[in-house]
Amino acid sequence: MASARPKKARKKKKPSKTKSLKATVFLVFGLLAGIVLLPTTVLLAVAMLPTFVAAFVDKEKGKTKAITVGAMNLAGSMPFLLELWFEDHSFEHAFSFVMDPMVIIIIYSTAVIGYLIDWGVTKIVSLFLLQRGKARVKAIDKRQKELVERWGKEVSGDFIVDNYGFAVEGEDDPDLSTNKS
Amino acid sequence: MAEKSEKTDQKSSQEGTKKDEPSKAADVVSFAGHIEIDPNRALPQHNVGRNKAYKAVSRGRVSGSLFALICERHYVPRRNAASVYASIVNPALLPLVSYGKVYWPPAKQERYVMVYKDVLGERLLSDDQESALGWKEDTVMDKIVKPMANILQDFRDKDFVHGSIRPSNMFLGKGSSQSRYLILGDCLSMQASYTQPVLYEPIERAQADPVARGSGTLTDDLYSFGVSLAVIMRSRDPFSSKDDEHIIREKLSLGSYAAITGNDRFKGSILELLRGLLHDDPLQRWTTDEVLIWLDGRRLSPKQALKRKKAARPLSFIGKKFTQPELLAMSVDILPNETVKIVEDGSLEQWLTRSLDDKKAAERLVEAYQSSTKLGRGAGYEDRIVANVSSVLDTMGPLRFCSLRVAGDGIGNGLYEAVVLKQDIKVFANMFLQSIAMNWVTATENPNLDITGLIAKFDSCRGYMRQNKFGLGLERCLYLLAPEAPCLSAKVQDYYISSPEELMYAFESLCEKGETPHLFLDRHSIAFLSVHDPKSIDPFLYDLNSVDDRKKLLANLKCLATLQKRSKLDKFPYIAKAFSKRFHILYDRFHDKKIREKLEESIEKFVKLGNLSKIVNVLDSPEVHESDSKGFHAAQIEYAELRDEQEKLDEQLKTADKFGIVAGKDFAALVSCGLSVLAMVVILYFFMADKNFF
Repeated sequence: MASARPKKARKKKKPSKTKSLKATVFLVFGLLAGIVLLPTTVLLAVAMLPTFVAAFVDKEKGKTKAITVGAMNLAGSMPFLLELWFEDHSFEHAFSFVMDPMVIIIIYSTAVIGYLIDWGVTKIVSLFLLQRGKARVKAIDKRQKELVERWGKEVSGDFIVDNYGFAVEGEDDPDLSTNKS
Repeated sequence: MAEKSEKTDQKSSQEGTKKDEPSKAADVVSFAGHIEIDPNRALPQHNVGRNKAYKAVSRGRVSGSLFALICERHYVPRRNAASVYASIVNPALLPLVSYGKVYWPPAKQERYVMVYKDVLGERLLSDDQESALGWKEDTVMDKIVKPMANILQDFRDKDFVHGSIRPSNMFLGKGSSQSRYLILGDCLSMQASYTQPVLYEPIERAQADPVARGSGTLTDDLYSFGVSLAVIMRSRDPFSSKDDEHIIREKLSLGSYAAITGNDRFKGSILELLRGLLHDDPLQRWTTDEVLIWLDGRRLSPKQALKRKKAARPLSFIGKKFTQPELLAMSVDILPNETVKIVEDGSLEQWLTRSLDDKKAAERLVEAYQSSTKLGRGAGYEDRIVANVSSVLDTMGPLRFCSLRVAGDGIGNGLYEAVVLKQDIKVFANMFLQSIAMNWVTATENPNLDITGLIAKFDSCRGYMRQNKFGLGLERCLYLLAPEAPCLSAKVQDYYISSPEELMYAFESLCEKGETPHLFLDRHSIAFLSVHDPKSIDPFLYDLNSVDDRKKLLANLKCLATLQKRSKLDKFPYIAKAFSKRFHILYDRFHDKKIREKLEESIEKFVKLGNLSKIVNVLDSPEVHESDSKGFHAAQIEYAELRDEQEKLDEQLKTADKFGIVAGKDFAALVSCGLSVLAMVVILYFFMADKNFF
């Protein structure tokens, strides 16, 4: 008995270790890629700032806001990334983009669109779901009433019933038994 | 032929009592389609017992005048015997025209009726006349013996028992004095031998109550014929102003022949006939064949009178001295405590062993005593002792218990009359419960009784009496022991019900009048059906005894439906309608409203058709019940699932501002990713096409 607990504890810790290992591997690869593709890294580091902010601000599980903003942010950065990759993949070229206010405005505008999508679509969808939920509650209520109407009050399971499923009327009746459904 | 006639009669009655109701203008009762009975024209000269006779006429079918005997309800007309009687063609027999039940306006109920041709002249002997006619032998031979021998021969051939052969039931036919012939009167309108005076009955039957003498045998008819001959021929009545008990005691002491003929001395061949017919031993008594042989002129060896055992020394009992056990048996009930005394102190056993030298009787006495003490010495002990001791002392005599004197198969008729006249019936119940009847039947030595059959019946009755459920009890005993008794259910008290089919028609008629009973079947009708058509009711007895009103109602319906189906009867729309008014308690046993509605709809159709079987099929269909049960179970599960869902939704809706946010965000991410991919594809296209994007 005594040895069972540590074993369980070890088992529980195992996935977190694997996870941290994966994260470490990614971090190492990321750093290496960042160093190798430094101009890209510089451009993305500045261009994707709204995404990093969104990721930092979003406390929800799944970080969907960061995904929404990030997707649009990335799309906005895409023309400049392509130009960097296919024309001159240099630090100066990357820096010229970063320093160009027009480029930054364009990229950050797409991030704003991401924010707008996150806010707007979420509102629309949640409102729709709320109405649907309320309608469902009404439908359930209606259906329950229909069931009671068709099958009797005993269908709710709130009554003491006899062997045949009918509500017990008189307790003295010897033919009846009390089985709560 | 006769059966057919009865069936036709029944049908005409069943078709509705209205048919039999007389129209006010005519004031006559129509019967069997062609007979009209006039309730205003009584014919008291043809009355039989309390059955009154009325003038009747036939419209076309039967010539001459008729008379109808309206049977009182406490009598049991011999319906089965009537069909045999009707098949006998003999001019010396009162011609039976028709029989059956009819609505009798003076009584405002149905009555059984026997319609005869009115061919009767005056009676040979009127009731107030001295029982001695003093006829000469030659006249008796021509007018009485020959026609009677002829009738007895027919009775023998048809296995028929008349039960009312006596001079006061013998008539001379209408017409001139020269051609007047003997006619034997009615014997069908009540139980056999009911109206027969003690004088005309063999000793063993004479001792029984008139109602409970049983169906009798042809041997008993021959005895009655013998007594009738003696009365017609004798010149003086030795029993004038004597009571019945005196007559029986005289017959027991002297023998029937000596007692009845008295001081009259008969000579010649008629003496042989009288001795042969009046023999007290049923096995020694002349048969019809012997009478016919005698009539042919062959002389038979004269019968010696039955020698009864007499004790060497008399037994002193209640201040009298007894030498014959049969005479003692008649007196043991006078002072029951004295009887108990002589049994318990052993003096009776001693008398039987030493003075009477009848060790078998002594052994039977010991057994009877032991049987009487089995149930203790409390209430009823003296009555048990008296009954059992009298059975031991008189092995040919009737069962004597308390006020009852019953012989064999007459018990049923006795019980029937007691029930109809609302007399005390506890004595019958005790008779079975305390094994009095069983003790008597095992002790009796009467060769005319079907001992095996009676033992089986009494044993069944003892079993029925131990339970007081519907279909058992004293009612069951009544209909078992009196198979010809009509149903005495209070619900059909104004109807004469002699068969399960008639019960159905009576219910239909009741319902048509709007007198719908709460439940159709009661103790009497259930017992009646159990005896007459067990297959139609026995499967439902358990439910008929249930305390659950629904089960009882359905069992009532099932039983009547089975009767309708088994007997292939007509439609019963009024019964169906009466049932349908109470069906709501059966519909309530279905969960599904739709099934209930469908049932109501289809049952309404069958109600109009009067088809009870189809109603039962619908109401009691296992498929419908199963479908209802399964549907209900599924609905219960659905309801429970809906409740769970509702609870979850209610919980989520409590924070409406957060409701659907997660899903919304997920969808926003999806939309964003989609747009992003689309945008990147477009950008890539422009880039690859070497077009300036901006």
